[in-house]
Amino acid sequence: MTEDLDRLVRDTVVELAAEAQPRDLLASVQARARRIRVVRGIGYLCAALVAAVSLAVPFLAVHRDRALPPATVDPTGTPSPSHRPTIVPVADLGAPVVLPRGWVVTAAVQAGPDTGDSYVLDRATHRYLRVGYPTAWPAPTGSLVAVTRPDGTGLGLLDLATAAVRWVLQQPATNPQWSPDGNRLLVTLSPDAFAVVDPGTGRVSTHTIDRSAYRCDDACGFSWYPDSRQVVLALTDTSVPHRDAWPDVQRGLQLFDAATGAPGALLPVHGTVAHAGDWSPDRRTVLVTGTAADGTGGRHAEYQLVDTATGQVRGPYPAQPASSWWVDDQQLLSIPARLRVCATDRAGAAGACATLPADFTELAIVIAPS
Amino acid sequence: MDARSDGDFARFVADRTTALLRAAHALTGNQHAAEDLVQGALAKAMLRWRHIADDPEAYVRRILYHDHISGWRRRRRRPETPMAAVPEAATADGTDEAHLRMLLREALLELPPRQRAVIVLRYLEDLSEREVAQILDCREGTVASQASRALAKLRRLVPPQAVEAWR
Repeated sequence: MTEDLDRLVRDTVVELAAEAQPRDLLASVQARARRIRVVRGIGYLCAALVAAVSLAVPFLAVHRDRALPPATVDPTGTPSPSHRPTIVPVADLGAPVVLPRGWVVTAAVQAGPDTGDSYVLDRATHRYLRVGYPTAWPAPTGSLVAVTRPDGTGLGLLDLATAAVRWVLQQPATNPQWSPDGNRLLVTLSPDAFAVVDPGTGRVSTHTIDRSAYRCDDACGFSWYPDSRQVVLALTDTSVPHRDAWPDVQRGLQLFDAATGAPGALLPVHGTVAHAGDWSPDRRTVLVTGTAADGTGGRHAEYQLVDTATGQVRGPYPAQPASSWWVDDQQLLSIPARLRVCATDRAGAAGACATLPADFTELAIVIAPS
Repeated sequence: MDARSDGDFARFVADRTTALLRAAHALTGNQHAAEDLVQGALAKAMLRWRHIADDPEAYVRRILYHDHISGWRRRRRRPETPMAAVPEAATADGTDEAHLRMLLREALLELPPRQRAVIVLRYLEDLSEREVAQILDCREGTVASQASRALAKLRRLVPPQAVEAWR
C-alpha cells in the first residue's frame, strides 16, 4: 500500500497544482507593495489603533451562529442567457449502459471541482447527451436534471425536453441530491444549512440548524433519508479529542425534517453516509465511512455496514459509500475497481459485473433502476 | 525602484507567476487563496528587489512557503468549512477512482500547514530533503519526520479498501 499511496499522493498534488488558473498579477502586486509601504510608514499609529479596536471589538463581534442570508431565488424561472446549455448527443453512447440487476447509468459527472462537461441519459430517447455543466444530476424519473454552474455559484434545473435551464439558487450550493421519490431536490449550503427545492414551483426552503447542538466538522454533506421526508447529517463526537492524525469519530446520524428543518431522531451510527442509496431497502443496515482501531492505539477510516438500530458494525465493506447502492436487502451495486460495476453481497463478494465505457474514465457515475 | 528594476521585476512576475500559482494552489486548494499567497510573496519581493535581484526565485519561494505556514497559525485550529468547499467527495455518487482522488485531496488539505508544505516541496517540486530543509529553515531530520507524519495521516484518513480498489 505504501507505494500505491506514494503514487496517489504525487498524482493528487500535481492535480491540485494544475487547477491553478493563470493570472496577470502585476498590477495587484504593485498595489499591495504600495500598501505595505504605507502601513510601514504609519506604524506609529498602530498602538493607538490597537487601543481603539480593543474597545470596539465587543460591539463589532459577529455572532458565529448567525443565520444564513435567505436563499436567492430567481422568481421568474427564466433561462439565463449567459448560461445557455450546450447539449450534444454522444454518437458512441447511443444506448443506456446496462448494469447488473437491470440498473443503468443515468449520468457521469465531474467528481472534483474540475470544469468540464457531463453525460446524462435522456430517458425519452435512450441516448446519452453531453451537457455543458460539471455537475448534472438527473431526477429518478422524468426529464429534469439538476445542474451547477462551473464556479459552483448557482443551482439550475435543466429540462432535457426543452433544453431550457431554470436557475433556482444564486449562491454556492453543493452535493445536489434528488429525494428517492424524485419530488424534491436537496442541496448543502454549509455544514449547518441545507435547502430543499420544489422542482415544480422553483420554491426554495432554506433551513439552518443549531450548530451548538448539532455540530458537524467533517464530511458535512446533507443527504436524504430513504423516506424522502427527512434529511441526514453525521454529527461529530466532540467528546472524543480531535487529533489531526486521525479521522474524527461520529456521534450518530441526525435526522431533520426536510420541510421544516426540525431535528428528529439521532441514529446510533458512528459514520458518515453519502446518499440515500446507502440505506438497505428495509433501512436496517447502512453503509458508512466509519473508523476502526489501527492496532497502535490510533484509528483509521473504514467503510462499514452498520446496524441502524444498535449501531453495531456488521463488518467492513470493500467499496466506498459514495459509489455503492443497495439493490435489495442482501445485495449492493458497487465499484470495486476502476470502470467496473459489480453486484456484491454484504461481505463484498462480487457476482455479476459490468464494464463502464472509457468515456466515463475519471468521472463519477449516477445509477438508477432502468 | 528605477525604470530598469521595474522592467526586470515585471518580467520576473510575467515569467514566474504561473509556476508560483501552481505551488500556491497545491498548498491552499483554491484559486483565491493561491493568488493571495503569491501576491503577498511578490509584493515583498518587489520591496526588496535590489537586494534579491540575483536570485529572486529563491526568495519568493521561501516567502511563499513561510507565509503559508505562518498565515495558518493566525487562524483557528479548525476553521469552518467554507460553503463553496463543502466536501463533495464524501457525499457524491461516483467511481472509486474519482472519489479516491477527492478523498486524498481533502486529506491533503487537512494536513497541518508545515506537513503540507513538505509534501508539496517533495512531491510537486521534486526537491531533496536537504533542499526542503533550506527553504523551510529546519533540519533535514525534521523534513523527514514531517513527511512521515503526513503520509501516516493520509494512510489513516483514506480507507485501505479504497487504495486497494484503485490498484
